[in-house]
Amino acid sequence: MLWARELSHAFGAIRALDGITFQLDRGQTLVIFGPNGAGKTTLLRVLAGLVRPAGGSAGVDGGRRSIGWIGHQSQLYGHLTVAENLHFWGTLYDVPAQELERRRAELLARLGLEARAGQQVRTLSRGETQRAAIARALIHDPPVLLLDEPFTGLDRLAADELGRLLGELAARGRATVLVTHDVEEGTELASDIAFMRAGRFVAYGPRDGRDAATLTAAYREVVGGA
Amino acid sequence: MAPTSSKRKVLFIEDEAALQTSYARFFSARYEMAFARTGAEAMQQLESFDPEVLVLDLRLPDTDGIALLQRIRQKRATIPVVVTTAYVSMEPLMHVLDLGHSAYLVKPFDLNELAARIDAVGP
Repeated sequence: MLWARELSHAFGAIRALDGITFQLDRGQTLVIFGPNGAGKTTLLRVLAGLVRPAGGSAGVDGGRRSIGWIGHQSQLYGHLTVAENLHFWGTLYDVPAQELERRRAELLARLGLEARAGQQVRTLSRGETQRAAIARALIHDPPVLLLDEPFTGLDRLAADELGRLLGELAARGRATVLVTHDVEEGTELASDIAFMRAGRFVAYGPRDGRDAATLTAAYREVVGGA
Repeated sequence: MAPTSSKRKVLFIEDEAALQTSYARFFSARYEMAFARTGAEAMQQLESFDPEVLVLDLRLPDTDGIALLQRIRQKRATIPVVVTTAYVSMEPLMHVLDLGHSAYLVKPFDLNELAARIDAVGP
């Protein structure tokens, strides 16, 4: 469903990606842990087709329209309301009108944004904007999700709700790559784990039920810090 | 009376000749060194050289590095081991951490980083 083979990329003398290889099938969630500057965002941008890698290749079944993307920018229009933004993005992805209406209502409810639906995005708090960005990413019900620090700015309740939502999407066959610097944050969602350092996977494999404490110890060993 | 060395005794278990050469050049002033290229040689050196620290590559010609580490632990339960590997799978990392008294370093690494790990592992 989603694959990368020997991906490499550099920004000047800095190797952002160095031999990244993995494959993700339906229902799998790969959580990539790494410190700032490890290359996580570059990897997601390559997978999303936003950056052409210097070497190697990557692909997604169904191409770029199959991807739901949450990056550091919300990709929402500040002068439009939350509902208008979701309508805009749904239309852009050719979601049929009736389906779009249903999905928009469902996502607004699910992400606790019903009361903010008619509010301009520029008036939202950081956490509300992040929730609206999540709704935007899911409005076309994409089979592949690429999530860059999706819990950023969310309070505990909203983070828990996003975790539940992502778990349900995985159970429905969605394949997800989630990157984060926080091992505690993404562990429970992961079917597969990668630790990333200096553009490389320094450990990669199935989570096999390992808990956050075990993975934190392993992360400290091969990446440092945490 | 022969002078006694205050340098730590480190046994490098590594079959790559180029790495052995690098280790010898970089670490000879710092550690009292011995080398083993196979698991069998490592077990002999464990007795004859009596190292304080091991640097163990997980891929050896005659044995799996994890299996060798388990055998070493039967003889020297708490000897510090710095495991080096080119493998990126999660499994060996978890095995090594479970065995305790170990550090884990993924190749390629800087020799200063290896030195820091050797110096950091107890006692």
